[in-house]
Amino acid sequence: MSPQEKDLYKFILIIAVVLGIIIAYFIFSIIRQQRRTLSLNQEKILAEITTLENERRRIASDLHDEIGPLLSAVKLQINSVESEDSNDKMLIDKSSSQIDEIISKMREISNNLMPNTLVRKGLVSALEEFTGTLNKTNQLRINFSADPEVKLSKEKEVNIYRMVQEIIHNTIKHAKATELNIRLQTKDNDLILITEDNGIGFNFDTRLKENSGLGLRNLSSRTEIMGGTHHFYSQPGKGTKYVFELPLG
Amino acid sequence: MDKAFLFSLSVLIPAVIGLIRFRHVDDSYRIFIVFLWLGFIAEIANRLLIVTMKTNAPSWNIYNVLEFLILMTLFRKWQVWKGRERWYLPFLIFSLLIWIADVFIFGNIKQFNSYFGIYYCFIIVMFAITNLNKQITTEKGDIIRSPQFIICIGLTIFFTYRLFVEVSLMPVFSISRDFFQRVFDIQVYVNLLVNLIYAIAILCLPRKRIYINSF
Ligand SMILES: Nc1ncnc2c1ncn2[C@@H]1O[C@H](COP(=O)(O)OP(=O)(O)OP(=O)(O)O)[C@@H](O)[C@H]1O
Ligand SMILES: [Mg+2]
Repeated sequence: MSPQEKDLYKFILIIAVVLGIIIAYFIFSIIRQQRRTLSLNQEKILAEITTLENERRRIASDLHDEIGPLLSAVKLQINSVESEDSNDKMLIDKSSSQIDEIISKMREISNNLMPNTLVRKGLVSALEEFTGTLNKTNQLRINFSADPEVKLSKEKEVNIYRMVQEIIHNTIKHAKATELNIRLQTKDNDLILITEDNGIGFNFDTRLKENSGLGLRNLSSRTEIMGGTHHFYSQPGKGTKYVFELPLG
Repeated sequence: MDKAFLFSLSVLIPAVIGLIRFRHVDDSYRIFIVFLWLGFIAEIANRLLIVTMKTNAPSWNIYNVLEFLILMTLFRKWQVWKGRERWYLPFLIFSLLIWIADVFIFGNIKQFNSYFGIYYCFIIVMFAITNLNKQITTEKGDIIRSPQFIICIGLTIFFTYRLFVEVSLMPVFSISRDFFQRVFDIQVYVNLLVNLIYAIAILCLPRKRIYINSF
Protein backbone atom coordinates (compact mmCIF):
# COMPACT_ATOMS: atom_id res chain seq x y z
CA MET A 1 0.00 0.00 0.00
CA SER A 2 1.22 3.50 -0.82
CA PRO A 3 1.23 6.14 1.97
CA GLN A 4 -1.93 7.67 0.55
CA GLU A 5 -3.62 4.32 0.54
CA LYS A 6 -2.54 3.77 4.13
CA ASP A 7 -4.21 7.01 5.14
CA LEU A 8 -7.28 6.21 3.14
CA TYR A 9 -7.43 2.77 4.75
CA LYS A 10 -7.28 4.32 8.21
CA PHE A 11 -10.03 6.69 7.23
CA ILE A 12 -12.20 3.84 5.98
CA LEU A 13 -11.62 1.92 9.21
CA ILE A 14 -12.73 4.90 11.26
CA ILE A 15 -15.89 5.26 9.21
CA ALA A 16 -16.56 1.55 9.63
CA VAL A 17 -16.32 1.88 13.41
CA VAL A 18 -18.59 4.94 13.45
CA LEU A 19 -21.06 3.07 11.28
CA GLY A 20 -21.01 0.20 13.77
CA ILE A 21 -21.76 2.56 16.64
CA ILE A 22 -24.67 4.11 14.77
CA ILE A 23 -26.15 0.71 13.96
CA ALA A 24 -25.73 -0.42 17.57
CA TYR A 25 -27.52 2.68 18.80
CA PHE A 26 -30.25 2.18 16.22
CA ILE A 27 -30.88 -1.38 17.40
CA PHE A 28 -30.81 -0.32 21.03
CA SER A 29 -33.34 2.43 20.43
CA ILE A 30 -35.70 0.07 18.62
CA ILE A 31 -35.61 -2.38 21.51
CA ARG A 32 -36.29 0.39 24.01
CA GLN A 33 -39.11 1.85 21.94
CA GLN A 34 -40.77 -1.53 21.51
CA ARG A 35 -40.71 -2.16 25.26
CA ARG A 36 -42.31 1.22 25.89
CA THR A 37 -44.98 0.70 23.28
CA LEU A 38 -45.72 -2.72 24.67
CA SER A 39 -46.19 -1.60 28.25
CA LEU A 40 -48.19 1.46 27.21
CA ASN A 41 -50.45 -0.73 25.14
CA GLN A 42 -50.93 -3.19 27.97
CA GLU A 43 -51.85 -0.42 30.39
CA LYS A 44 -54.40 0.85 27.93
CA ILE A 45 -56.03 -2.53 27.43
CA LEU A 46 -55.96 -3.18 31.16
CA ALA A 47 -57.70 0.12 31.83
CA GLU A 48 -60.35 -0.60 29.20
CA ILE A 49 -61.10 -4.07 30.45
CA THR A 50 -61.16 -3.00 34.09
CA THR A 51 -63.60 -0.20 33.29
CA LEU A 52 -65.76 -2.60 31.30
CA GLU A 53 -65.91 -5.22 34.03
CA ASN A 54 -66.54 -2.67 36.78
CA GLU A 55 -69.37 -1.19 34.80
CA ARG A 56 -70.88 -4.62 34.19
CA ARG A 57 -70.60 -5.49 37.84
CA ARG A 58 -72.28 -2.23 38.82
CA ILE A 59 -75.17 -2.66 36.39
CA ALA A 60 -75.61 -6.30 37.40
CA SER A 61 -75.79 -5.53 41.08
CA ASP A 62 -78.04 -2.49 40.54
CA LEU A 63 -80.47 -4.63 38.58
CA HIS A 64 -80.32 -7.45 41.05
CA ASP A 65 -80.35 -5.49 44.28
CA GLU A 66 -82.55 -2.53 43.43
CA ILE A 67 -85.00 -3.53 40.72
CA GLY A 68 -85.33 -7.08 42.03
CA PRO A 69 -86.82 -6.25 45.45
CA LEU A 70 -89.10 -3.63 43.88
CA LEU A 71 -90.54 -6.17 41.47
CA SER A 72 -91.00 -8.70 44.25
CA ALA A 73 -92.88 -6.07 46.24
CA VAL A 74 -95.13 -5.29 43.28
CA LYS A 75 -95.85 -8.95 42.83
CA LEU A 76 -96.75 -9.33 46.49
CA GLN A 77 -99.07 -6.38 46.30
CA ILE A 78 -100.83 -7.62 43.20
CA ASN A 79 -101.31 -11.06 44.70
CA SER A 80 -102.82 -9.52 47.81
CA VAL A 81 -105.56 -7.85 45.81
CA GLU A 82 -108.80 -9.70 46.42
CA SER A 83 -111.56 -9.62 43.95
CA GLU A 84 -114.62 -11.69 43.20
CA ASP A 85 -114.80 -10.67 39.59
CA SER A 86 -113.42 -13.44 37.33
CA ASN A 87 -112.13 -10.90 34.81
CA ASP A 88 -110.14 -9.17 37.52
CA LYS A 89 -108.83 -12.50 38.75
CA MET A 90 -107.60 -13.38 35.31
CA LEU A 91 -105.90 -10.02 34.99
CA ILE A 92 -104.21 -10.46 38.37
CA ASP A 93 -102.98 -13.94 37.46
CA LYS A 94 -101.68 -12.70 34.14
CA SER A 95 -99.87 -9.73 35.67
CA SER A 96 -98.40 -11.94 38.34
CA SER A 97 -96.99 -14.41 35.85
CA GLN A 98 -95.65 -11.57 33.71
CA ILE A 99 -93.87 -10.16 36.71
CA ASP A 100 -92.38 -13.58 37.35
CA GLU A 101 -91.16 -13.55 33.79
CA ILE A 102 -89.63 -10.09 34.22
CA ILE A 103 -87.88 -11.21 37.37
CA SER A 104 -86.39 -14.27 35.75
CA LYS A 105 -85.37 -12.30 32.62
CA MET A 106 -83.76 -9.72 34.84
CA ARG A 107 -81.89 -12.43 36.75
CA GLU A 108 -80.68 -13.79 33.45
CA ILE A 109 -79.46 -10.41 32.26
CA SER A 110 -77.78 -9.69 35.55
CA ASN A 111 -76.23 -13.13 35.51
CA ASN A 112 -74.91 -12.62 32.00
CA LEU A 113 -73.38 -9.33 33.00
CA MET A 114 -71.67 -10.76 36.06
CA PRO A 115 -72.40 -14.36 37.03
CA ASN A 116 -73.31 -14.73 40.63
CA THR A 117 -71.62 -18.09 40.90
CA LEU A 118 -68.40 -16.60 39.58
CA VAL A 119 -68.37 -13.99 42.32
CA ARG A 120 -69.42 -16.37 45.10
CA LYS A 121 -67.92 -19.76 44.26
CA GLY A 122 -65.22 -19.07 41.72
CA LEU A 123 -64.31 -19.90 38.16
CA VAL A 124 -64.67 -23.66 38.09
CA SER A 125 -68.16 -23.68 39.57
CA ALA A 126 -69.25 -20.85 37.30
CA LEU A 127 -68.03 -22.65 34.21
CA GLU A 128 -69.64 -25.90 35.33
CA GLU A 129 -72.89 -24.07 35.75
CA PHE A 130 -72.58 -22.24 32.44
CA THR A 131 -71.74 -25.32 30.40
CA GLY A 132 -74.39 -27.29 32.29
CA THR A 133 -77.17 -24.92 31.27
CA LEU A 134 -75.97 -24.83 27.68
CA ASN A 135 -75.82 -28.60 27.47
CA LYS A 136 -79.49 -28.79 28.38
CA THR A 137 -80.61 -26.56 25.56
CA ASN A 138 -78.02 -26.87 22.80
CA GLN A 139 -77.08 -29.38 20.14
CA LEU A 140 -73.45 -28.84 21.03
CA ARG A 141 -72.08 -31.18 23.64
CA ILE A 142 -69.62 -29.37 25.92
CA ASN A 143 -67.26 -31.43 28.08
CA PHE A 144 -65.70 -29.33 30.76
CA SER A 145 -63.08 -30.55 33.19
CA ALA A 146 -60.73 -28.80 35.57
CA ASP A 147 -57.93 -29.70 37.93
CA PRO A 148 -59.26 -29.34 41.46
CA GLU A 149 -56.37 -27.17 42.64
CA VAL A 150 -56.98 -24.28 40.21
CA LYS A 151 -56.70 -21.12 42.31
CA LEU A 152 -56.74 -17.65 40.84
CA SER A 153 -57.22 -13.98 41.62
CA LYS A 154 -60.70 -12.51 41.05
CA GLU A 155 -59.61 -10.43 38.04
CA LYS A 156 -58.08 -13.42 36.32
CA GLU A 157 -61.15 -15.52 37.01
CA VAL A 158 -63.34 -12.94 35.31
CA ASN A 159 -60.98 -12.74 32.34
CA ILE A 160 -60.79 -16.49 31.87
CA TYR A 161 -64.53 -16.81 32.29
CA ARG A 162 -65.08 -14.25 29.52
CA MET A 163 -62.60 -16.01 27.27
CA VAL A 164 -64.29 -19.37 27.68
CA GLN A 165 -67.64 -17.69 27.16
CA GLU A 166 -66.47 -16.18 23.86
CA ILE A 167 -65.00 -19.48 22.68
CA ILE A 168 -68.25 -21.28 23.46
CA HIS A 169 -70.30 -18.60 21.73
CA ASN A 170 -68.08 -18.74 18.66
CA THR A 171 -68.31 -22.51 18.57
CA ILE A 172 -72.09 -22.37 18.72
CA LYS A 173 -72.32 -19.53 16.23
CA HIS A 174 -69.73 -20.46 13.62
CA ALA A 175 -68.16 -23.88 14.08
CA LYS A 176 -71.02 -26.29 13.18
CA ALA A 177 -69.46 -28.59 15.75
CA THR A 178 -71.13 -31.36 17.73
CA GLU A 179 -68.57 -31.48 20.49
CA LEU A 180 -66.41 -29.02 22.40
CA ASN A 181 -63.83 -30.05 24.98
CA ILE A 182 -62.64 -27.54 27.53
CA ARG A 183 -59.93 -28.27 30.02
CA LEU A 184 -58.32 -26.20 32.73
CA GLN A 185 -55.12 -27.53 34.22
CA THR A 186 -52.09 -26.33 36.09
CA LYS A 187 -48.59 -27.03 34.89
CA ASP A 188 -45.60 -25.77 36.86
CA ASN A 189 -46.46 -22.12 37.42
CA ASP A 190 -48.93 -21.79 34.58
CA LEU A 191 -52.60 -22.28 34.18
CA ILE A 192 -53.31 -23.97 30.89
CA LEU A 193 -56.63 -23.62 29.16
CA ILE A 194 -57.21 -25.94 26.23
CA THR A 195 -60.33 -25.95 24.12
CA GLU A 196 -60.97 -28.09 21.10
CA ASP A 197 -63.99 -28.44 18.84
CA ASN A 198 -64.71 -30.78 15.94
CA GLY A 199 -66.21 -28.12 13.70
CA ILE A 200 -65.34 -26.57 10.37
CA GLY A 201 -62.32 -24.63 11.57
CA PHE A 202 -60.99 -21.40 10.11
CA ASN A 203 -57.83 -19.50 9.38
CA PHE A 204 -57.15 -17.48 12.50
CA ASP A 205 -54.73 -14.88 11.13
CA THR A 206 -56.65 -13.91 8.03
CA ARG A 207 -59.98 -13.93 9.88
CA LEU A 208 -58.61 -11.68 12.58
CA LYS A 209 -57.60 -9.14 9.95
CA GLU A 210 -60.68 -9.13 7.74
CA ASN A 211 -63.31 -9.70 10.40
CA SER A 212 -64.99 -6.88 12.24
CA GLY A 213 -65.92 -9.12 15.19
CA LEU A 214 -64.53 -8.31 18.60
CA GLY A 215 -64.40 -11.86 19.94
CA LEU A 216 -61.00 -12.98 18.70
CA ARG A 217 -59.48 -9.59 19.44
CA ASN A 218 -60.76 -9.76 23.01
CA LEU A 219 -59.28 -13.23 23.42
CA SER A 220 -55.88 -11.80 22.50
CA SER A 221 -56.25 -8.71 24.68
CA ARG A 222 -57.29 -10.61 27.77
CA THR A 223 -54.45 -13.07 27.33
CA GLU A 224 -52.06 -10.20 26.90
CA ILE A 225 -53.05 -8.35 30.07
CA MET A 226 -52.65 -11.53 32.09
CA GLY A 227 -49.14 -11.81 30.66
CA GLY A 228 -49.93 -15.09 28.97
CA THR A 229 -49.46 -16.55 25.53
CA HIS A 230 -51.88 -18.21 23.16
CA HIS A 231 -51.61 -20.69 20.34
CA PHE A 232 -54.24 -21.43 17.79
CA TYR A 233 -54.38 -24.57 15.79
CA SER A 234 -57.10 -24.34 13.25
CA GLN A 235 -57.37 -25.16 9.61
CA PRO A 236 -60.45 -25.00 7.46
CA GLY A 237 -62.21 -28.33 7.84
CA LYS A 238 -60.18 -29.60 10.76
CA GLY A 239 -61.75 -28.07 13.85
CA THR A 240 -60.38 -25.42 16.14
CA LYS A 241 -58.01 -25.76 19.04
CA TYR A 242 -56.90 -23.05 21.41
CA VAL A 243 -54.15 -23.34 23.98
CA PHE A 244 -53.68 -20.54 26.48
CA GLU A 245 -50.80 -20.45 28.92
CA LEU A 246 -51.45 -18.02 31.73
CA PRO A 247 -49.02 -17.39 34.57
CA LEU A 248 -50.56 -18.18 37.96
CA GLY A 249 -48.61 -15.77 40.14
CA MET B 1 -7.69 -22.36 2.71
CA ASP B 2 -7.68 -18.65 3.18
CA LYS B 3 -9.40 -16.73 5.94
CA ALA B 4 -12.16 -15.27 3.76
CA PHE B 5 -13.29 -18.70 2.60
CA LEU B 6 -13.04 -20.23 6.05
CA PHE B 7 -15.07 -17.40 7.60
CA SER B 8 -17.67 -17.53 4.88
CA LEU B 9 -18.23 -21.21 5.69
CA SER B 10 -19.68 -20.03 8.99
CA VAL B 11 -22.94 -19.75 7.08
CA LEU B 12 -23.11 -23.51 7.61
CA ILE B 13 -23.84 -22.99 11.31
CA PRO B 14 -27.28 -21.38 10.84
CA ALA B 15 -27.90 -23.34 7.64
CA VAL B 16 -27.44 -26.74 9.26
CA ILE B 17 -29.50 -25.83 12.32
CA GLY B 18 -32.10 -24.49 9.92
CA LEU B 19 -32.16 -27.71 7.98
CA ILE B 20 -32.69 -29.72 11.15
CA ARG B 21 -35.60 -27.51 12.14
CA PHE B 22 -36.91 -27.05 8.60
CA ARG B 23 -40.01 -29.20 8.97
CA HIS B 24 -41.17 -27.51 12.13
CA VAL B 25 -41.04 -23.87 11.15
CA ASP B 26 -43.23 -21.36 9.38
CA ASP B 27 -43.13 -20.88 5.59
CA SER B 28 -41.44 -17.49 5.70
CA TYR B 29 -38.56 -18.89 7.75
CA ARG B 30 -38.18 -21.74 5.29
CA ILE B 31 -37.45 -19.12 2.66
CA PHE B 32 -34.80 -17.77 4.97
CA ILE B 33 -33.23 -21.20 5.41
CA VAL B 34 -33.14 -21.57 1.63
CA PHE B 35 -31.42 -18.19 1.53
CA LEU B 36 -28.72 -19.50 3.89
CA TRP B 37 -28.13 -22.59 1.78
CA LEU B 38 -27.99 -20.48 -1.34
CA GLY B 39 -25.23 -18.50 0.35
CA PHE B 40 -23.33 -21.69 1.05
CA ILE B 41 -23.73 -23.01 -2.48
CA ALA B 42 -22.53 -19.67 -3.82
CA GLU B 43 -19.38 -19.91 -1.69
CA ILE B 44 -18.63 -23.34 -3.12
CA ALA B 45 -19.35 -22.17 -6.67
CA ASN B 46 -17.04 -19.19 -6.15
CA ARG B 47 -14.26 -21.54 -5.06
CA LEU B 48 -14.72 -23.88 -8.00
CA LEU B 49 -14.71 -21.01 -10.48
CA ILE B 50 -11.59 -19.48 -8.96
CA VAL B 51 -9.80 -22.77 -9.36
CA THR B 52 -11.04 -23.45 -12.88
CA MET B 53 -11.52 -20.01 -14.44
CA LYS B 54 -9.35 -17.84 -12.18
CA THR B 55 -12.34 -15.59 -11.43
CA ASN B 56 -15.56 -16.07 -9.56
CA ALA B 57 -17.29 -13.14 -11.25
CA PRO B 58 -19.95 -15.18 -13.11
CA SER B 59 -21.20 -16.97 -10.00
CA TRP B 60 -20.99 -13.74 -8.05
CA ASN B 61 -23.14 -11.88 -10.59
CA ILE B 62 -25.73 -14.63 -10.67
CA TYR B 63 -25.75 -15.08 -6.91
CA ASN B 64 -26.45 -11.37 -6.44
CA VAL B 65 -29.65 -11.45 -8.40
CA LEU B 66 -30.81 -14.74 -6.84
CA GLU B 67 -30.16 -13.43 -3.36
CA PHE B 68 -32.03 -10.26 -4.19
CA LEU B 69 -35.06 -12.17 -5.46
CA ILE B 70 -35.19 -14.51 -2.50
CA LEU B 71 -34.92 -11.70 0.01
CA MET B 72 -37.68 -9.80 -1.78
CA THR B 73 -39.91 -12.88 -1.51
CA LEU B 74 -39.07 -13.04 2.17
CA PHE B 75 -39.99 -9.40 2.76
CA ARG B 76 -43.19 -9.89 0.84
CA LYS B 77 -44.08 -12.82 3.10
CA TRP B 78 -43.41 -10.57 6.07
CA GLN B 79 -45.90 -8.12 4.60
CA VAL B 80 -43.56 -5.24 4.08
CA TRP B 81 -45.49 -4.67 0.83
CA LYS B 82 -48.86 -4.66 2.50
CA GLY B 83 -51.11 -2.04 0.94
CA ARG B 84 -48.66 -1.47 -1.93
CA GLU B 85 -48.94 -4.95 -3.37
CA ARG B 86 -49.49 -3.74 -6.94
CA TRP B 87 -46.09 -2.07 -7.02
CA TYR B 88 -44.30 -5.31 -6.23
CA LEU B 89 -44.08 -6.70 -9.74
CA PRO B 90 -43.10 -3.42 -11.46
CA PHE B 91 -40.44 -3.02 -8.80
CA LEU B 92 -39.04 -6.51 -9.44
CA ILE B 93 -38.99 -5.91 -13.19
CA PHE B 94 -37.27 -2.57 -12.72
CA SER B 95 -34.63 -4.20 -10.51
CA LEU B 96 -34.06 -7.00 -13.00
CA LEU B 97 -33.58 -4.44 -15.75
CA ILE B 98 -30.89 -2.77 -13.67
CA TRP B 99 -29.20 -6.12 -13.21
CA ILE B 100 -29.33 -6.91 -16.92
CA ALA B 101 -28.02 -3.47 -17.82
CA ASP B 102 -25.23 -3.73 -15.25
CA VAL B 103 -24.15 -7.26 -16.10
CA PHE B 104 -24.75 -7.47 -19.85
CA ILE B 105 -24.85 -3.98 -21.29
CA PHE B 106 -22.51 -1.73 -19.35
CA GLY B 107 -20.41 -4.54 -17.94
CA ASN B 108 -20.03 -8.18 -18.65
CA ILE B 109 -20.67 -11.36 -16.75
CA LYS B 110 -16.99 -12.19 -16.46
CA GLN B 111 -16.20 -9.10 -14.41
CA PHE B 112 -17.33 -7.65 -11.12
CA ASN B 113 -20.05 -5.11 -11.81
CA SER B 114 -20.88 -2.97 -8.85
CA TYR B 115 -23.90 -0.84 -9.78
CA PHE B 116 -26.53 -3.51 -9.23
CA GLY B 117 -24.68 -4.55 -6.07
CA ILE B 118 -24.89 -1.04 -4.68
CA TYR B 119 -28.52 -0.69 -5.70
CA TYR B 120 -29.69 -3.91 -4.11
CA CYS B 121 -27.70 -3.56 -0.88
CA PHE B 122 -29.36 -0.21 -0.50
CA ILE B 123 -32.85 -1.61 -1.16
CA ILE B 124 -32.36 -4.47 1.29
CA VAL B 125 -31.17 -2.16 4.05
CA MET B 126 -34.28 -0.03 3.45
CA PHE B 127 -36.62 -3.00 3.66
CA ALA B 128 -34.90 -4.41 6.72
CA ILE B 129 -35.23 -1.08 8.51
CA THR B 130 -38.88 -0.73 7.49
CA ASN B 131 -39.55 -4.18 8.88
CA LEU B 132 -37.68 -3.42 12.10
CA ASN B 133 -39.84 -0.36 12.61
CA LYS B 134 -42.98 -2.33 11.92
CA GLN B 135 -41.97 -4.75 14.64
CA ILE B 136 -42.00 -1.98 17.24
CA THR B 137 -45.77 -1.84 17.10
CA THR B 138 -46.67 -5.38 16.08
CA GLU B 139 -44.43 -7.53 18.25
CA LYS B 140 -46.35 -8.61 21.34
CA GLY B 141 -43.60 -10.45 23.16
CA ASP B 142 -39.97 -9.84 23.97
CA ILE B 143 -38.56 -8.35 20.78
CA ILE B 144 -35.00 -9.54 21.30
CA ARG B 145 -36.21 -13.09 20.99
CA SER B 146 -38.24 -12.46 17.87
CA PRO B 147 -36.58 -14.27 14.94
CA GLN B 148 -37.85 -11.70 12.45
CA PHE B 149 -36.26 -8.94 14.46
CA ILE B 150 -32.93 -10.74 14.78
CA ILE B 151 -32.84 -11.63 11.09
CA CYS B 152 -33.56 -8.03 10.09
CA ILE B 153 -30.77 -6.82 12.35
CA GLY B 154 -28.42 -9.29 10.67
CA LEU B 155 -29.53 -8.12 7.24
CA THR B 156 -29.15 -4.46 8.19
CA ILE B 157 -25.63 -4.94 9.55
CA PHE B 158 -24.45 -7.12 6.71
CA PHE B 159 -25.80 -5.06 3.85
CA THR B 160 -24.84 -1.72 5.36
CA TYR B 161 -21.22 -2.87 5.55
CA ARG B 162 -21.38 -4.51 2.21
CA LEU B 163 -22.67 -1.29 0.71
CA PHE B 164 -19.91 0.59 2.44
CA VAL B 165 -17.20 -1.77 1.24
CA GLU B 166 -18.65 -1.88 -2.24
CA VAL B 167 -18.68 1.90 -2.49
CA SER B 168 -15.14 2.17 -1.10
CA LEU B 169 -13.90 -0.26 -3.73
CA MET B 170 -15.79 1.21 -6.67
CA PRO B 171 -13.84 0.85 -9.89
CA VAL B 172 -13.65 4.65 -10.25
CA PHE B 173 -10.73 4.63 -7.80
CA SER B 174 -7.51 2.98 -8.83
CA ILE B 175 -6.30 0.90 -5.93
CA SER B 176 -3.65 -1.64 -5.12
CA ARG B 177 -4.36 -5.29 -4.52
CA ASP B 178 -3.25 -5.05 -0.88
CA PHE B 179 -5.59 -2.13 -0.21
CA PHE B 180 -8.47 -4.03 -1.81
CA GLN B 181 -7.77 -7.07 0.34
CA ARG B 182 -7.68 -5.11 3.57
CA VAL B 183 -10.89 -3.22 2.94
CA PHE B 184 -12.55 -6.41 1.82
CA ASP B 185 -11.54 -8.03 5.12
CA ILE B 186 -14.01 -5.73 6.90
CA GLN B 187 -16.79 -7.55 5.10
CA VAL B 188 -15.29 -10.92 5.92
CA TYR B 189 -15.46 -10.23 9.66
CA VAL B 190 -18.92 -8.74 9.43
CA ASN B 191 -20.00 -11.84 7.54
CA LEU B 192 -18.85 -14.05 10.41
CA LEU B 193 -20.69 -11.91 12.96
CA VAL B 194 -23.89 -11.89 10.94
CA ASN B 195 -23.86 -15.65 10.43
CA LEU B 196 -23.72 -16.07 14.19
CA ILE B 197 -26.65 -13.65 14.51
CA TYR B 198 -28.59 -15.74 11.99
CA ALA B 199 -27.82 -18.85 14.01
CA ILE B 200 -29.37 -17.21 17.08
CA ALA B 201 -32.43 -16.27 15.02
CA ILE B 202 -32.85 -19.85 13.82
CA LEU B 203 -32.58 -21.11 17.38
CA CYS B 204 -35.29 -18.65 18.41
CA LEU B 205 -37.77 -19.90 15.83
CA PRO B 206 -40.90 -20.92 17.68
CA ARG B 207 -41.25 -24.63 17.96
CA LYS B 208 -44.65 -26.10 17.36
CA ARG B 209 -46.01 -27.35 20.63
CA ILE B 210 -48.05 -30.46 20.82
CA TYR B 211 -50.73 -30.81 23.45
CA ILE B 212 -52.68 -33.96 23.76
CA ASN B 213 -56.17 -33.50 25.01
CA SER B 214 -56.63 -35.82 27.90
CA PHE B 215 -60.23 -36.72 27.32
N1 LIG C 1 -64.70 -22.09 16.54
C1 LIG C 1 -64.80 -21.55 15.33
N2 LIG C 1 -65.03 -22.32 14.23
C2 LIG C 1 -65.13 -21.77 13.00
N3 LIG C 1 -65.03 -20.46 12.74
C3 LIG C 1 -64.81 -19.63 13.78
C4 LIG C 1 -64.67 -20.13 15.11
N4 LIG C 1 -64.43 -19.08 15.93
C5 LIG C 1 -64.43 -17.99 15.15
N5 LIG C 1 -64.66 -18.31 13.86
C6 LIG C 1 -64.65 -17.40 12.72
O1 LIG C 1 -63.91 -16.23 13.09
C7 LIG C 1 -64.69 -15.07 12.88
C8 LIG C 1 -64.36 -14.03 13.93
O2 LIG C 1 -64.85 -14.38 15.20
P1 LIG C 1 -65.11 -13.25 16.28
O3 LIG C 1 -65.48 -13.89 17.56
O4 LIG C 1 -63.94 -12.33 16.29
O5 LIG C 1 -66.32 -12.42 15.66
P2 LIG C 1 -67.88 -12.76 15.73
O6 LIG C 1 -68.12 -13.95 16.58
O7 LIG C 1 -68.37 -12.82 14.32
O8 LIG C 1 -68.46 -11.45 16.42
P3 LIG C 1 -68.46 -11.10 18.01
O9 LIG C 1 -67.60 -12.12 18.70
O10 LIG C 1 -67.89 -9.75 18.09
O11 LIG C 1 -69.86 -11.17 18.43
C9 LIG C 1 -66.12 -15.53 12.90
O12 LIG C 1 -66.95 -14.74 12.09
C10 LIG C 1 -66.04 -16.94 12.35
O13 LIG C 1 -66.11 -16.92 10.93
MG1 LIG D 1 -67.46 -14.15 18.53
